[in-house]
Amino acid sequence: MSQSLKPYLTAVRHSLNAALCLENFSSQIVERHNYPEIENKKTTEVLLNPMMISRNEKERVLIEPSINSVRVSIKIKQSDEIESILVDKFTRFLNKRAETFLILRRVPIEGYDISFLITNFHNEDMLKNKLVDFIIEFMEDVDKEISEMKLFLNARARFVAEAYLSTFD
Amino acid sequence: MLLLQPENLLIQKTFSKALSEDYIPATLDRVITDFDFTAYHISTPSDKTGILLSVGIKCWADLIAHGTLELLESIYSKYSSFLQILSDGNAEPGYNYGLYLELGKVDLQNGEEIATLISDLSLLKRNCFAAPFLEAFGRYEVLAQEEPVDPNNIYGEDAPNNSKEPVIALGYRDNESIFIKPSNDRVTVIFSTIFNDETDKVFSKVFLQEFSDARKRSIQKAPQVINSHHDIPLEIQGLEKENSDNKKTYITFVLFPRHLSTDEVKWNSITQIETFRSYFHYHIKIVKCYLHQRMRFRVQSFTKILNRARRDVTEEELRSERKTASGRRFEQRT
Amino acid sequence: MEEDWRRIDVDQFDPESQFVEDDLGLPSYTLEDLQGKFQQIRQSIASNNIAEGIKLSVTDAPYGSANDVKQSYLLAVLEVLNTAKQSEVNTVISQLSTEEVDVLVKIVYALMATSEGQRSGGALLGWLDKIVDSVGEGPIVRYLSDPYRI
Repeated sequence: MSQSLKPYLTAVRHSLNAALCLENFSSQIVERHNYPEIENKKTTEVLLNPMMISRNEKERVLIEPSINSVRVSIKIKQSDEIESILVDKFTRFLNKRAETFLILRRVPIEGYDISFLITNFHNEDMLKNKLVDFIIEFMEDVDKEISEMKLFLNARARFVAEAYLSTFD
Repeated sequence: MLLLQPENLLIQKTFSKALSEDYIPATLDRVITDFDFTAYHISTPSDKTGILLSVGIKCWADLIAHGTLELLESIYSKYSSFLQILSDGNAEPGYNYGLYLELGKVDLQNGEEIATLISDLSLLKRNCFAAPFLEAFGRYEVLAQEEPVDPNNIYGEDAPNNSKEPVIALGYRDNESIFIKPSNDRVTVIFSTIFNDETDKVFSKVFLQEFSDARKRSIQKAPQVINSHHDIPLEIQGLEKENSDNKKTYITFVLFPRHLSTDEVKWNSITQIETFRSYFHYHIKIVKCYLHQRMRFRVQSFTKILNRARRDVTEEELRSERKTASGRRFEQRT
Repeated sequence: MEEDWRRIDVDQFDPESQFVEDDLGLPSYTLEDLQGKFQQIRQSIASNNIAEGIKLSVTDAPYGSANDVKQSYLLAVLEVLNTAKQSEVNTVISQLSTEEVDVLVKIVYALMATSEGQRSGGALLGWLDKIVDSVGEGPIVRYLSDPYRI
């Protein structure tokens, strides 16, 4: 694990721990409605201060807490064209499977690659510490996956090129 | 399957079956497609023992301008006792060229000859495309004779009068072409290709980089590969119109005398070069496919982690586990 | 009409449903007011007295001021945070009171949202990490609902 990754992940972990303190909250604007307050942002008194945790310009996490929901948006590291394509493909793939992911927001918010929306209902049937673990593990694995895919792509390209060119002997 | 086969497998299958001893003649009507907008039609137009193989190629006009008909004639005329060549007006409507095989008249004795016939038939597409290459190789030999390579020209710079040499262009697909240019010490083959998908385009850059590097690294005998993503290579600047919206990618293969020495080597070079575009596109698709599989697997493992977070204790279980301060359980009395 | 009138949210104009934030009665500093403070902070950096610099930064932060004033204040603090050596951080934190740590956490979060802070993300994360190590998650929880924003 690189030098700055560990403090980055622990910072996210602590911030999430603090933010994931949710309770049921019915809408004050529409009767009998109950929606994630962070999404409609009409009741400003139940929104809390957002936290942005950045490792560098390219990698950051935005945590937007509110009374009954927390939105976690992740910007994944993209150092070149290939990585950004891989990230894009990967997040699109995930978003299409948002159904099985429960906490995944179907569309990431502007400027980020992937967003999670955790509501009090998720918090009720899932253990909070495990939810935090999931997000941390996700962040770790995505980085790893992207760099592995990139390595694979290069290795494969080399193999294919050599196989083709060696037929000219 | 790493490399693409130059022959058409379906044609090969059909004819090896038709030429086997226990073949029961049947009516055939098959349309087979191959790479680069090539279509084959295998049929039995009059009776069951006469098989017609027709081929249609998009850039046929470009090909016959460079001696394809003569080349095909030289390859297939040795079977003239039972194989009739149908070209120009005689070919089946919608196709460019035909070969009519009469099974009853086949007089080949041993299996080896039959195998050669089958392979010649299944390589029809390659043979069609080979003529322009052979023409260019021929030009190279003439040029090399006229003006031997200057041994002092260590950088391999093009001799100035070579630029006048006409370039053979084959528009083998819509907007994509092959250019062949002979000169006194090499033959340059340039492919132009288009990627419609943005992802493919980026992946192609990675691939082409490796193609260019492979020669420097390990395979010194291979032709030199130069790629350019936007700029039109110098050799074909007169022929190619503007590279509008930078969509086209140009790949240049430089075939050195080593690749043009004997007939066998020449044919090998032609066969490999022809499959390049298909090979290149095919492997990009494979990589995407693999990455997709990988992502699928990764997503599964994420789901597992997330499911671990679920509380699987139901409300009732919680209640039954409730204990008093002294550690005694609540017992439900009924 | 320019806008689709059906999409206008009329409720937001209802005076009854408006949420008015409490007036915190904060003084609005201008850049000139803060020059003296910046001077002091810079001096403490020059004399390599990080604890002093941090103390200065976390007292009387310009909460009620305009955004550009806050921005330049944050940048001044960033300099202090950047000059601190990793080994010093713990001793500095131990000298701060609970309230001062809260302000420090607030500043660190605010800095990470700026592009200058992102460039030195490593140092800021180091600070946050050490703070949580020594005093726990309390400051983060307090930051969440703090009306004094910077």
